[in-house]
Amino acid sequence: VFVVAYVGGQDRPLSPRHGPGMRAIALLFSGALLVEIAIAIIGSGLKALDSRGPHVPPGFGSPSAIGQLLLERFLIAFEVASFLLLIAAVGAVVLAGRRRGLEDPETLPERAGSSPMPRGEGGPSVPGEDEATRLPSGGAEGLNDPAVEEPAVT
Amino acid sequence: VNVTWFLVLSAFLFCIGTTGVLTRRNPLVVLLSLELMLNAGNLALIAFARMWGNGDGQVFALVVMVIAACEVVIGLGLIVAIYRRRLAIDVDELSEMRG
Repeated sequence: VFVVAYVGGQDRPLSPRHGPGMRAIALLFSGALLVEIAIAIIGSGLKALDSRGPHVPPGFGSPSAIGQLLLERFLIAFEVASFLLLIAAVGAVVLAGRRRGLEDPETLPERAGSSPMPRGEGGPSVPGEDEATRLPSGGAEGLNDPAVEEPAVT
Repeated sequence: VNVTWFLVLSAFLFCIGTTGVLTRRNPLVVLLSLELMLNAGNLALIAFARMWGNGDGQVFALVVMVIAACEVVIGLGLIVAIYRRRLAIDVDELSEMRG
């Protein structure tokens, strides 16, 4: 819900573009899947399915029991899961991080609030190029050493 | 309540999630439907763990939750990247993996 609020996209219709045909096929497929799972449950022949399960000791499913299982019997799975979470966090930072080449060059001027300029006329066409193209003409000496030029002007 | 009803509820949840994945175009809704499917699997795992009186299914449900968290993290990162590039948030149009 928070991400919907951040990203938006509510104005876009959620129904499929291909019309009701694909939707009907998808509904048919999911209905067939439901029937298949029902057949699998009914036809499994497990007699314990109709019971309430065995009587378990009072500590069954408690956090201490699960923690003991996690740290003793499933220690490798626990560690692998922690590495997986670490990799996912790094991947999310890499994916969602603000990179220079991520935005399209055409959309950069309109993000800055100005209209997009054509290339080669002084506007920032490529993100790495704007420093060279924006310098005024005749500032060749200042380009070499601007720290010397500026105290002389002021 | 019998174990069967948990499995029936799990099957319904899984099918609802499948319907959402198959019919919706917004990747956020697809992610939500995937979460629904994973949680249906979790419910089945815990129901079977209760049926056998064994705690292994609960641990596996926790691992499935971790995998679901990773999937959501990557999916939301992709959605944020798509949104920054001003592309259409539509899984039918996002058919190229090339950046």
